[in-house]
Amino acid sequence: MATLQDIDFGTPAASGETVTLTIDGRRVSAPAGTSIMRAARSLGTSIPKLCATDSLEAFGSCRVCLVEIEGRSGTPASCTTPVAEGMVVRTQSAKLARLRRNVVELYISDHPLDCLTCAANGNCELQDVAGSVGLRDVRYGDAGENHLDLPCDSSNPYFDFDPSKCIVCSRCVRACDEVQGTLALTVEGRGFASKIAASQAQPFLESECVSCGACVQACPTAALTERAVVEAGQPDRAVVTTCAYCGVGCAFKAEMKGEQLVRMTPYKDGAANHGHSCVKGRFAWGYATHKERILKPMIRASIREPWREVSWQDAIAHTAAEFKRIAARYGAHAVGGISSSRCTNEETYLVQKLVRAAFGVNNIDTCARVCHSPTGYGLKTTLGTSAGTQDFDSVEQADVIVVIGANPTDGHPVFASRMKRRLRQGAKLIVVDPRRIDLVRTPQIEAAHHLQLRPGTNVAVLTALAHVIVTEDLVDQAFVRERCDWDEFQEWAAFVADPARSPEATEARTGVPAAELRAAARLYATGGNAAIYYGLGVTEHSQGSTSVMAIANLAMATGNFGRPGVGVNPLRGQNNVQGACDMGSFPHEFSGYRHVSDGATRALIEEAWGVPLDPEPGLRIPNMLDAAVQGAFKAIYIQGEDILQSDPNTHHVAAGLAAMECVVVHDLFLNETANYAHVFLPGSTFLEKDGTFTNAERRIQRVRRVMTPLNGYEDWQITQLLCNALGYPMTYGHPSEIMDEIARLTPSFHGVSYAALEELGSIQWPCNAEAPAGTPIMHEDGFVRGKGRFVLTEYVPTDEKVGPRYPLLLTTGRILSQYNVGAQTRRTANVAWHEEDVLEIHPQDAEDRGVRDGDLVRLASRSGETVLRAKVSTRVAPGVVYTTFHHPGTQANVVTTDYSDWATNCPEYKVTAVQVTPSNGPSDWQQRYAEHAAQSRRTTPAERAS
Amino acid sequence: MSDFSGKLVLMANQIAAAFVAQGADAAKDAAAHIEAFWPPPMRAQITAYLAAGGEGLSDQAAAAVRRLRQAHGDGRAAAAVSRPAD
Repeated sequence: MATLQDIDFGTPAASGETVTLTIDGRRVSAPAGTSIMRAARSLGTSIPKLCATDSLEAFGSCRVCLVEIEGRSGTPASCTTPVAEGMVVRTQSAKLARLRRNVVELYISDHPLDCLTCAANGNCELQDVAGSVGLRDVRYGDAGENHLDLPCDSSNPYFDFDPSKCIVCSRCVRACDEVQGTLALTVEGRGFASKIAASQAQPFLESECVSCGACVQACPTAALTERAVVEAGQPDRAVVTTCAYCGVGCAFKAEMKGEQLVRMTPYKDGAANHGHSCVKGRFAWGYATHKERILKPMIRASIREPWREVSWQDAIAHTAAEFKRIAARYGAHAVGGISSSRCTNEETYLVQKLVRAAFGVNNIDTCARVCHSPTGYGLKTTLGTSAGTQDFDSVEQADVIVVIGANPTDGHPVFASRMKRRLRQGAKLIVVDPRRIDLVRTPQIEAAHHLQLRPGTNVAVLTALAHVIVTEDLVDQAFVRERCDWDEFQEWAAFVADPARSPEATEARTGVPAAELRAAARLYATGGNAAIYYGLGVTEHSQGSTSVMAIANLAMATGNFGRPGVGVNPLRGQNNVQGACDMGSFPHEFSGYRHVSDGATRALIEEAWGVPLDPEPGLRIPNMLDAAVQGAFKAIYIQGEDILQSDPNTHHVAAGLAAMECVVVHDLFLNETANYAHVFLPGSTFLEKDGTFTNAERRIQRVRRVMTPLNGYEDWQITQLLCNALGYPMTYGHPSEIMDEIARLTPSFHGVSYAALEELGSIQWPCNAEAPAGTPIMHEDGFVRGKGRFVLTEYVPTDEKVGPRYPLLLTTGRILSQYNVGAQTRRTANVAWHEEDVLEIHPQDAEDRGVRDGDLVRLASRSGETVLRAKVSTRVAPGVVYTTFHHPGTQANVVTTDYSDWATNCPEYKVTAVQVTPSNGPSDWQQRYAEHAAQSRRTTPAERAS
Repeated sequence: MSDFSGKLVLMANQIAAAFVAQGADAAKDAAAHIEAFWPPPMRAQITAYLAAGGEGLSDQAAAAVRRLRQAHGDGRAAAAVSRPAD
């Protein structure tokens, strides 16, 4: 378990040959390249330091960590001096003590002496060092020039920068450079005039700072301090848990005072994030105690009525009675449920168990339906398992990084920082994206190739890349012969070699210059270890699954599987989308991706659960909504999802929900879906529950309860209450018991338990007898399916066409500060960076329509229309517009369509034909919806209701 | 054609087109895919739609649906199928 203050070794670990030296008379061995400071700390000797910390390369500026080395003159800095065989070091002497005291005295001579009232009191390295060197007096007086009156920058909503407390050690600057890779900070001026500046000496909020918190984490004084610490004081305990935003799965220390969360600090030993964080995980947790959180269950007979608060007992009994009534009247197939990628593995497992065992149907689906379901299909088909192949550490050995349809600096920022570090070290970057995402060109990074394709042409581009690899004889024949089906490969090679699939033949359709595409293909095939990272720009298309298979084809043809630095890596969107899929949240398969028609699996689970199970697949989310509109689907239990805002074609989603007789929303807030609900069950946050999340690298990590659920129950307990009320008994006492059941029934989880997680820290599945410590890299000796399968990937254009009425292509996405539908992040100070969704439009398209930057515009498609502000930008190509879907006032999905991936029904969010025209106010629909939402959210307290 | 029938036709046509592009026995593979991922009521509806004329179904999609009908009469295919996950 974590301590509040981790051991700081001063400099990063090294990995050279072992050398032995003597420090203060004690022998110590360390890898060559280790600093004397780090070697000393491994002996338990803390050499005073200020500019050094082990997350950053040694800098050697503060001159506090001086040591003496036998046979060498002077007093070198221990942070920048590496160990050597036979070296004899003294860390303490009268001379060193005098030098250190003099140096620290100079620092303190220009530092406020307000330690007792300082926010860092008790957690200040300068204070500690002053105590360590025995500073008792400052001889310089206070008459000279100083920095004590410099104004504090409080522009950032989460932390203050007080330059009067800054010692210009550059740790913040180096953290921004080395850890985050944004390079937003600098030391401005020279000598006494030196000061830390954000961008062009701008306030932090207006600068390029992305508020990741790395600078705050690195600061040894109170110069950069979390405002929550200023207000609450220093925390008194820490609990390690896992972030509930995005699929990176950063481990954090929740630093507490009693049951009050004071701050979240990135956990140094977190295997996914290695001590780094982003603005969401680090700071945007205030939603957990937001005043709009609903803490009491509510019911109503009709969505036109106000909500009525009831007891938990009444709410559960009412819900169970409604589901029983509806199943009795319309049949069992008229009910279903949706599990949440924001909830734990244990909770999603229970929801699918409730649907299959208590409802008696397979009408269970999850939000992966609308994001990475094509990943599951495509990778299972080609490789044999529905998950990415690598761990995140793998990127450190990649020589070529291909980013397709993903925007890691916004969507997966902590992994993006690691990617950027590798790119700064010299790895080459290929970006395939209709937008000029930040990675295309940032300080010290520039993509070797940006294939700026037209939305919807992924398969044509990926197949053209394969064409170059095959026709220019760049295939790794040995790998393919050994690891893949040779006959299928030959058929595929002939298919892609067809001149009709060449870059030249497809250029007019894709918009990608043939020469650029050829160069990118050559780099991918010949540049060394090549790793593909992709996102929803690949999956959310009518050919999403085909694109995933085309990606797998490329990696197999070039031998980029089974070792560090390579592979096919889906960047998962939500925190537990991998886990929700693993746990059997899809209507056609049980946990571990076993089809419901598999008799042996069904028999195993039937015996464990004590009920017969349906051997037929159930309804997917869009099927449920279609069936509801038809009158055949009448009741749904939705845990932790807001399908009205997140799913495509809002009008259709609303019609489906409105047609049901019982919609149960189990969530933190009255979200947009709740405007069509009859029962509201208050949910618990990740801070209030025990469980596990599984990140994009298949890493299972613990979520630990740090405070009592404000709503009274953890979410798994609520599902259990409902299950029992339905007559199917559940008696779990703790989520660890649920994980034990998952492990017992799921081959790839056989070795997973809470005890194993405590021992190992985290586990990447498969974890079983063959891999007791888990599997960081898949397919090392062979593909899970046996021989890798090449699939022919013919480009089939989407049915969504541009034309005179809708001449532009809309593509949608996410930004850094907001998360998914924004239910959490809109209820934090992150709105400082993103108050509303805007429409990016190319200057030429704007000019043609008389649209200026900041104007309100009407965005219309065949599905619907909405009004939002225009942002004129060259990030998008002419003919393409882009927006986000974080705000319900905009509801970008009013515009998106029902078109979906052929294999999985994953919606085609990335291609909608639209028109943009000037507007002077909200659309009719926006006005009607705002009125409906206000009416629907009326609440009658329990005392008035009774 | 109702909206819902239209959707089923679109989905079936997409699936058939995908397997035609993969170059194998498209009707068999498309039928297997529908069997693996569509619940019985949807399979029954597309089967009934084809029986009523099948307007808008591509030839390959119709062939796939016909295999469902010929197999069991209730939308279930007889051929052993691989069932890839999504």
